[in-house]
Amino acid sequence: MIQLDAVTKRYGDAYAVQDISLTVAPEATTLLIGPSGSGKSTLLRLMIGLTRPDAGAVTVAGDRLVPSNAQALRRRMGYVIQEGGLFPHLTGRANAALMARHLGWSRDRINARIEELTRLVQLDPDRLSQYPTELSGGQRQRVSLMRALMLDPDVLLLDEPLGALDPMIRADLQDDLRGIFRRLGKTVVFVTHDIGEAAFFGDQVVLLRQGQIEQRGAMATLLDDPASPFVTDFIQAQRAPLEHLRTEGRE
Amino acid sequence: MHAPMPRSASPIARSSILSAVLSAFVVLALAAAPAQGQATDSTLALGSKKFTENVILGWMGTHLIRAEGLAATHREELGGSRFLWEALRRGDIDAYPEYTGTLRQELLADVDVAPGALADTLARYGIAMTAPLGFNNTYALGMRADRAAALGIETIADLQDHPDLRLGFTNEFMDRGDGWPSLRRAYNLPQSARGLDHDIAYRGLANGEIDVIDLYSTDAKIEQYDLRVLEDNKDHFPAYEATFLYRRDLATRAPAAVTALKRLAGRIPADTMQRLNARSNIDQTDEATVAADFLNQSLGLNATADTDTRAERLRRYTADHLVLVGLSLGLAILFGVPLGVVAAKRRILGPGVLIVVGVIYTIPALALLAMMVPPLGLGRVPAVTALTLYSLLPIVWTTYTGLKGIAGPLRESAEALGLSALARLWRVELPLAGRSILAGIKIAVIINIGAATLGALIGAGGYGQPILTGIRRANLGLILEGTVPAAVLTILALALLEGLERGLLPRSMQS
Repeated sequence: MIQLDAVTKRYGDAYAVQDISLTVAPEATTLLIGPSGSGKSTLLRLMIGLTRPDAGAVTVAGDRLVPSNAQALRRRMGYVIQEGGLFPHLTGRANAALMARHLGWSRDRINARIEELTRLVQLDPDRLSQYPTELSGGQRQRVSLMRALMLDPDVLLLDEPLGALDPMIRADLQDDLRGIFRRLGKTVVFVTHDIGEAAFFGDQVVLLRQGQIEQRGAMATLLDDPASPFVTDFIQAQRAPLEHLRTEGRE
Repeated sequence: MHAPMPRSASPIARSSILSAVLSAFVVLALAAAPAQGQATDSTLALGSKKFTENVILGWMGTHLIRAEGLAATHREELGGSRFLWEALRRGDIDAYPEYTGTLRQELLADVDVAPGALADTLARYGIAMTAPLGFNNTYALGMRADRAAALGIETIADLQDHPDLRLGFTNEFMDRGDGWPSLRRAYNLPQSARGLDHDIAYRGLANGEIDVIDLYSTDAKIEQYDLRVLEDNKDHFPAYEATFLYRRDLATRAPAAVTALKRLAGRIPADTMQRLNARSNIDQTDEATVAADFLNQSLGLNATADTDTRAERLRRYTADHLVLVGLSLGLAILFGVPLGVVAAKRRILGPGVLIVVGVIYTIPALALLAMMVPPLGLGRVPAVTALTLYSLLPIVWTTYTGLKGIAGPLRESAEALGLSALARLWRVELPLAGRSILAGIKIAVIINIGAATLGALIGAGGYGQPILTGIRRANLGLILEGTVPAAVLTILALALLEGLERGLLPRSMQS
């Protein structure tokens, strides 16, 4: 569905992404993980054409992504960012319907689609008439997901969509999201730095380090057969505190 | 979920309301534009400068032409000799009172005019002049009549015999080429002089601290303070003889008008002009009435000055001012917002746009108006053009900052949706910059209402008219007749915009 061939992106002298080749499996969820600055967000932005590669090619559904077709290809992809990126001057409904209205959908068709999506993301329909500032963080992400899904795209790109939420809401939304991904059968690329979240969502996990792929595969492979000490360190770093606490308590 | 959209507020609906309001604004203003002040083809137009004597003469010419049964308007108190000269050459006005000295020293300063060849030179510009009206309004020296009589002083040369006299002159007179330094040499005067403000000089003269001051020979205060004008027996000061200038084609278009203007030749001696100036400046009589009374008495005319009531004047000034402000503001929005977009979006052109509108704003409003007169003439067209240029700065800059201030993630979210650049601008970026743009429009309104008062200087009318008259006659009441309505208009306009903001912006975008 999405293919990157030897893609490189530099900012000044620093490599954000260095010679990465990656094929995103269709109708599955691919997790991009890695520490800050490892290039995972840049990789996502390259996929939707918000960033242009210095070298290499990005191919979406068989078409090479270039500025002239970026607009058309983006309409086949949904994109959700950390704070949702909802437009503050539009209500939740108008945010979700923006693109459909721009494309001239009929009112009935828009209403039907919104109704369908409201059920899918499990949002209280009354919230739709409110502006983003009047919604909670979780509600904003649900509306944001509705907006991304409005045109029924083949691909969903999510850049740390749950990063700004508190743990309880985050857990709720994780469950709902996984259910939605499975039900819709979309190609999903999900960026997170949270190893637990990666394990929860990922059919396929891609661990990035300094703009390069350190290891890819199922989470179990990363755990059992790490390609380098860095993989182990990265996983350990997030598991360590609680386990450390437990061992301290016992001794 | 099936509830109707809250407020009527889709961005498209809002945008079309906004553009409808704006275009209605512009169309209304355009429709109203020719209604006031603009002379129709057969109506003759006279002009006058913004000092009392010239306004009175302008009214005399107007009354005389009307007495011939011709239609004539008077565009009074325009900003300066150059404005009137340009307007006369362009045909915006047909005649105005001018002084030979001004022609030689200012208007034709670059042209070598031989003595006695002034009329021939003017003919080259398509302009003719009447014979002098009878007085010479030049620089002169004045003393209190009683003191001059006591010392036996009648001419400037007589000052030589009284080296103890104290001389106080305006700073302009101290500096001028034909002022004090050269006067002193020409008459070999023994005194030294000090520079003073004109009003202080008069007061000093009245209470005896100063003996001799400079003045204009038809100054209204000559009579008020009972002064003696010392004779310039060596003809040191250049002659500023009053005449009427008129377009040469007037002789074929309306020969009766030329005949009418020529009737004034030699009819106004200096003491008469002093008296008329005093009636207007000191007694606060309307210039049109002063002119009519004089003509009725000395030429047997039956002229009447139709003076407006305060309410009528206020209505006229308000209508003029609204047209100036409405039209220029509408145009400034129409051009300013797109220019702001260019400034924000074009990497090379953008900074250029910001600099150009910034530089335009640094031109003083008065100078900007003056620059409009040669290409555009007098009246609304140049005034609206200048005001539009002047109002661009706040609108362009707030549009620019509004667009630049949009958070990166929001801009990218719009891009990631697959909206075209134009659709992003229209559906996301301009609405998000809306508050900032409206703030710029409010600033433009305030600037515009104030600056529009200068429009009176180029014959565009408005609240500047009573302010000019008030300053000229030192009449606070008249000044307030212009400044108070301007302040009220500003408050009303801001209230209207505040209401518009509430109606147009969704609640999430309001403060």
